[in-house]
Amino acid sequence: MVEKGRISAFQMGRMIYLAITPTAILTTPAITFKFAKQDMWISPIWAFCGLITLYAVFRLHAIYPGRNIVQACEAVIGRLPGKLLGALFLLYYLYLIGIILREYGEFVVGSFLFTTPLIVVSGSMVLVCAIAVRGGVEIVGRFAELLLPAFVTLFLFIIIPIIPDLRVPNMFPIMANGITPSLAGAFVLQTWFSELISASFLLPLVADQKKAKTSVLIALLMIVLTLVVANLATLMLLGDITGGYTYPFLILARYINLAEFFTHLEAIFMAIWVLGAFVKICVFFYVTVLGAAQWMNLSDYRPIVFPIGLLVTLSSMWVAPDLQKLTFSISTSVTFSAMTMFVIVPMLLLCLAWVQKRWRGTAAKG
Amino acid sequence: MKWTAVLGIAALLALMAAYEWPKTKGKKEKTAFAAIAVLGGLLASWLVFYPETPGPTQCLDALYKPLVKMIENLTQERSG
Amino acid sequence: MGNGKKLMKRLLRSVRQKSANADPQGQDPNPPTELSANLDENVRMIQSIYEDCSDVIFHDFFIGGQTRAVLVYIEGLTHIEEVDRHVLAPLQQHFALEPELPNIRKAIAVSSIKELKSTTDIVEQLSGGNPILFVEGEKQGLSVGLPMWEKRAIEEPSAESVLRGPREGFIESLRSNTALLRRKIKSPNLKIKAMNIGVYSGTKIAVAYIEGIAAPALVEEMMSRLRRIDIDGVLESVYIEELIEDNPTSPFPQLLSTERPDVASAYLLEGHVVVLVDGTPSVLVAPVTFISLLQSPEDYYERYVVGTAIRWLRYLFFGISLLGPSFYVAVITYHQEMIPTPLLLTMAKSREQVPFPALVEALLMESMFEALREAGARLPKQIGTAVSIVGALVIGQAAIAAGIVSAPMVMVVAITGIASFMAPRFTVGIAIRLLRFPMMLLAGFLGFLGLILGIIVILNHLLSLRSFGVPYMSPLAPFKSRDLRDVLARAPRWMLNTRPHLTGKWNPYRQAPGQRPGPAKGDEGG
Repeated sequence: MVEKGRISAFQMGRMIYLAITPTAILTTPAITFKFAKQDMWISPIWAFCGLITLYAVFRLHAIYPGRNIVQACEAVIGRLPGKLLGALFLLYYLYLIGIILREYGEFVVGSFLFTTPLIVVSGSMVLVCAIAVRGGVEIVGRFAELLLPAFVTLFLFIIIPIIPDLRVPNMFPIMANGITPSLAGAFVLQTWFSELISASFLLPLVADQKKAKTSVLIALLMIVLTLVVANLATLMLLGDITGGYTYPFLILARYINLAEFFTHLEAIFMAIWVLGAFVKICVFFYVTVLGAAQWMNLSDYRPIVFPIGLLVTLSSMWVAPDLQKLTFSISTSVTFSAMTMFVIVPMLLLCLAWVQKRWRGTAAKG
Repeated sequence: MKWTAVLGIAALLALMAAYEWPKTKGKKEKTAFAAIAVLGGLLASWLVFYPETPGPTQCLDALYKPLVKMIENLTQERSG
Repeated sequence: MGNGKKLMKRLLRSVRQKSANADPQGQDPNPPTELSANLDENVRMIQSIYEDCSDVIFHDFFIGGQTRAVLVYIEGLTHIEEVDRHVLAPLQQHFALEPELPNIRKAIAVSSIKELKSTTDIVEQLSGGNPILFVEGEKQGLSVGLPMWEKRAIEEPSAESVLRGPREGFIESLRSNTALLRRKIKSPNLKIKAMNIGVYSGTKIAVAYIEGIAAPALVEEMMSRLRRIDIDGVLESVYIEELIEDNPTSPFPQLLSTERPDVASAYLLEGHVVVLVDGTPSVLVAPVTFISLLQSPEDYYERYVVGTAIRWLRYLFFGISLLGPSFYVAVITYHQEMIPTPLLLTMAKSREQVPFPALVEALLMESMFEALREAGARLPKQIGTAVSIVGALVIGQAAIAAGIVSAPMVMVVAITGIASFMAPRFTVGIAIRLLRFPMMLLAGFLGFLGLILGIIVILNHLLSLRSFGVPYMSPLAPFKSRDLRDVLARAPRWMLNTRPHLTGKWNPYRQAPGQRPGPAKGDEGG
């Protein structure tokens, strides 16, 4: 086994939560609003892709225990096509992590460190993540365990003080045009939900397997809950102008006003949000590195961490020329490609695997 | 200016190698490291000179163009 | 004791090698280490081993007026009055029996007498302060247990004083220290294993643990690591600490050192292992977690509400000592909008004449402060503290007046300095003090982002650290909810039913549950 470390189901749940939520609460409210208007808070509930992906992940793991999806590829469709598909998978992961890193960088530079070059911000994050990933899955798991309470506290710290300022009428009319608007808004969110495929890479590393399923499902529930609350708060505070901001949640943070004295504390919001983004990038980075190491049949993934880090940084610079194009791509082609790679492909694999099992079963009997 | 960037990239690769090379055991691992590092270096140098190279996003955009158009139409209806 | 003999042999080997080089013809490369019946030969052997050692005294006398005997001892290590009274007096004056060892033993009124056959044994006993008796015609020497040397009185350790609680501290003598531990833990399950480390110093080491509470694997691991040590001399417990810790490159200590017997006993009762080193009052405790380095016995000697409050204060100031100057630099340089407006105006005014950017200012002041603190440590106690404080204030004021630094900066540095004194263990305090500087640099270049990245890197290091197999950040990182009640707060005594889980199987219960006190029932009337 390339990775000798083990994580607990509890840690895995936390890792999954932090692997999805940070960037989700940052950029999705605006995009969801564009499609769903006042029904945007219902959108996160339509977490179809999440459930489908998880189903595929768990079933595949049941058929091929101890293997993640890249390894299962080879078993299902044969060595050469499996390797090709696996490579495609990993390249897509590289692409996705580039997008995530770019989102992160644009946010930090655009809202806080205006004069710092983007590559410095992205590069420093990659460096720090590389150091953590080199320590192994246990380190990343412990980071997730440790930082989750901080992240959640921050989240509550932003939401709770603004409760007096929320205007509930912004929510109405609920479902004026049926469920179509909220479904349309949920469309973009499917990208984030299909990122749950990362669970496939973490599942073989969990020590107490029986609790893993519950843990991940709870994580999914928490993700949905967090997004609903975030969307609801944004909607009720900003109303119609939600779509005008790239980062509505930041506006919420700006509202913090303690005794008219401590204002503009959004820098602290940024600092703690970065902790969440760090875990997310670590998880994706780790998955990419582990997948690559297994694909190349290496005995250890540690040597390739830094080179892949370089590729990740480059990917983040390359994926889009500027923020607008980035946001546009995220709301459109990225969703499609993510759904293809993370939902359709796993389901196809699962079907094939299931058919194969049946076929082998009947052949053995016959 | 561009050449300094390339030098910087080379320096970065050298640093990585200095740190990792003695630690990695096994021919396979060393080749993997070298391959990816060199690939990264080449890609980085390329992007220094030709930053406008269409990236994977553009490729995927082109791939999914028809679907994207469909979504755009839907959005027009919405905000209209 | 076997370990001691081995080390004595090596010591002798090195001594012999030296004299062999000096006089290649005179010395037999393998002199017999067994004693002979001839008194003069024995004496000559010992004299040649202790050549040029003027503090080794050879005292010739006659037993019962007839048999020759020699008493060898090291001046300063032996209780000479007792020797005169209980060894020389009975032997010289009243001895009427045959001068054989059993009779001599009966005559000497000392409780600890050993018979020795070889020179290695003799050297070991002599260096322990026990006089050796050689008798004409006897093949064995007698070692008489009468060591005595100057010892410090038991006093409170200066670095770990408490308001309420025992004022005893360990001293330099190993036996006194083990006795202090025995006084606290009277159960025979307190095992104290002895060994010698150090080729030339032959330092006695004792490993203490409570059988049934400490995990056997831990004790075994500690013993094996100690046995591996091959060093010239052990002068302080830190020599051993540096040779047995898991990660020598980390600035954070992985063994706790304390001078208080009550702290050591508390750790023994929780299943840790304590290493005592002869010649130093600092004992080592292993394994240790990051959180235990932030705890002080003071927390447990006050009531739990007070203890909890002080603990929180300490955590807060711990954070300040690490992040204080960095936070200030980040806010001033990048996030000025965070400062409340009235404060912002005064700060801007005070920073007007300062030519340096905030980062340079901070580095300057912090280095100055560290220098003052180190300098203050060298001065005698009374002058030292005064000079440090007055020096800091005066220099700070002068610097402000000269326009080199701004007043808020001095404030920040002062608060950070005070905060760093709150760390109960010096080793953690100094680690944090050092880490402050890279954090300042990061904050100066990347603002809050730099701060967070710095914290992540430090956390990364802490999370991967282990102390004798125990993850350094437990019970926070491998999340152990039951142990958290003593970490996040100071749980009341009646809630501390379980021992903290270190490694492997452990003995969970340390007190009967459900002992919350309350007024006696039926106490209502009159």
